[in-house]
Amino acid sequence: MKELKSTIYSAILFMLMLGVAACSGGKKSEEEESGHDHSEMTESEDGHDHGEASGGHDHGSHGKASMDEGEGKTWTPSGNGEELIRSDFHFIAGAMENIAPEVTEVASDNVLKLTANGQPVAFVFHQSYGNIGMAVSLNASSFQGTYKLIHHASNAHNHEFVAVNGNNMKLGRIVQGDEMVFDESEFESDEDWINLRVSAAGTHYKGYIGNKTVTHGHGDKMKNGYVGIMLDGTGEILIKSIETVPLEDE
Amino acid sequence: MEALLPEWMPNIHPLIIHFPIALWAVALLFDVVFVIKKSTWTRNGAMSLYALAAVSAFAAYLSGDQAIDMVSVPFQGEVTASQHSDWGHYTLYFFAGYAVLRGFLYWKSLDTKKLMAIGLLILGLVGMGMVAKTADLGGKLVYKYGAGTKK
Repeated sequence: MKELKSTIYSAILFMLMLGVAACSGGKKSEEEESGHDHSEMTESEDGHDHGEASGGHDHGSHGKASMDEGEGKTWTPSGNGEELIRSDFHFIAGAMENIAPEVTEVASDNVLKLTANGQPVAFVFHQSYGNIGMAVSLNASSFQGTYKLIHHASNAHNHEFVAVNGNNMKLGRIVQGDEMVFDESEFESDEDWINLRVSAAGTHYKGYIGNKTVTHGHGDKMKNGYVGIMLDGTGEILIKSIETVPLEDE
Repeated sequence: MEALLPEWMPNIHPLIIHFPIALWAVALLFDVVFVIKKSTWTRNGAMSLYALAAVSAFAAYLSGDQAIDMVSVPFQGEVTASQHSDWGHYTLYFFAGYAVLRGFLYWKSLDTKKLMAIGLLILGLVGMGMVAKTADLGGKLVYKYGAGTKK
């Protein structure tokens, strides 16, 4: 009878602990969502966001101060392609000659044309982010290979991604060069221009085409990192805009 | 099941989620009455309601898991969606664990002791808090961010 009693009290204690753990877990995650870890990426403190002055247009934020406050921005290309890439991004894999950037006009919109030569290349904004939403309007109909939206990127061997190859979308992360796939799925799209979106909120990761969720996976939260684009293939890819939205609990 | 839904409703989740909330709340009321004045019918009623609440929480979890990929969530609402999902998991685990514990105590007739009944009532209140938090985040997702308001 004594053993039974102690088992029951243990079970009750466990239930209470579960409740408390859930409460503190929720609180902790809320604090993580609202907090900014500025210590991870010191380069972001330099504030390399040159906005219109350097060629690209940032709508919704103006330089470092705004970014640190967590405001979103929509980047659109203008000016000289190479200068634009040099001022607004930095490479974590490959180099300028691997993408030959040009700013051109398509249907009265400025677009950034990248011509990939087959060498893997990745360029990222200068600011680092935690929870992030990213949407890129792009046309990859003349591109053969894999293009990725990357986030939480420390370098080419440590980042999270949503990768598209043809009509296949893969969601995952690379840690020390090892790929972990959270989810993978096919999608249908008849349009040349697509709005590829990724969101990383806490331990939840999603990849969208437009408003349709294609992939959804879960993983531990990674430390803050850069966001940008990675290409591994050949051909042309056109980018009309890149929207970045720091995700915070409101 | 989807065929039974009105054409404007994007998924079945909003229909199901009210069951664990209501069943758990009524079960708590039964527990309060039982603590004040013991009776067989309140004891049986509470046990049945907690069990049903746990089952309906599982149904809510399954439908939520399906729903989150069917609705459009704006970027600003993603953190709320993530927290709603996490709290939904915590609540399900708690409800399931509580229902099992409760069933065992019922089987052994140990839930009739005053001290135990009060302890179970307190645990039930914790569960109510958890489901309330989950519901609050779900409501925010719909009414603040408009998730699931358009098919």
